[in-house]
Amino acid sequence: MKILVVDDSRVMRQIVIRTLRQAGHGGHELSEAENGRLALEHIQVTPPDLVLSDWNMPEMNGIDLLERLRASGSTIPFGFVTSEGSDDMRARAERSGAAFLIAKPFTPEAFADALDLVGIS
Amino acid sequence: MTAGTVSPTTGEELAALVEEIWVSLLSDSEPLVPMYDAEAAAPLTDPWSAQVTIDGDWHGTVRVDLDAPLAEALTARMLGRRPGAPLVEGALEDAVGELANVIGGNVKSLLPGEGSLSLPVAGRPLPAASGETVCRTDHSWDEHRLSVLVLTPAEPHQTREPR
Repeated sequence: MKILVVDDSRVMRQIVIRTLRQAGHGGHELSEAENGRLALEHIQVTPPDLVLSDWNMPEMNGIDLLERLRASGSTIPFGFVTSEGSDDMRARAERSGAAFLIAKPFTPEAFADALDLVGIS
Repeated sequence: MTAGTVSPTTGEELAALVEEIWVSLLSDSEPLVPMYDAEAAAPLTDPWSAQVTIDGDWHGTVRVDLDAPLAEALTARMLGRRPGAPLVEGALEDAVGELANVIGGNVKSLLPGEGSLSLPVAGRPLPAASGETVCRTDHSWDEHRLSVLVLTPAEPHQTREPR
């Protein structure tokens, strides 16, 4: 499976990738993008099986990335990994077509449950 | 809720939040040790700092200051490097900024209503955050210190119109 990790923080991308490994998902093909615009370009060339995206990023944030994807007809499973986990944000993420929202700080179990939700094992 | 001296969190909540985030970001790290008023009173010397602002029904700043050796240890561990390993340019700003971002995001999640969280600003030195400190927590880790402050503007803030 191809998983795209989108976050403007390089250290957070590393932590997400490390946590995926700890959750038993180290065998996937992982790629990275540092904002929504670059993620969109990456997805057009190499569509992943899952996008794990931060919400708050420069140039194009995560919710705009998701809405652009859905507007283009893409149904790629999409989950947020973000520092804000309020009810309002969870509701907005769901309305826009996100499968889940993992709030930072997170655990390997949170990633295992979320990936199970979208059928990635 | 309005700006002013209202804090979105208590000192105990903020301390618990910071300790949980620390352990989560640095999975194999020793926990932070809480510090109390007398020992936390002295200002940090030449710290790394980062802050985010929250803008909505409540307006304010969440700021993190930490001793330089602690910032370097944080960065190395977040990147999965051994302590003392050379770091690429910008790594310290990135790591310290992300710590402020995660703490700020969690503080924002305690607030009712919608609002926005700024991107983090990090540096050494970073100009002192203006405003009134309405909540703070101080911790030590391997003889180094970390402080987290929640501040509200000194001047009344124009809250956002409801959408």
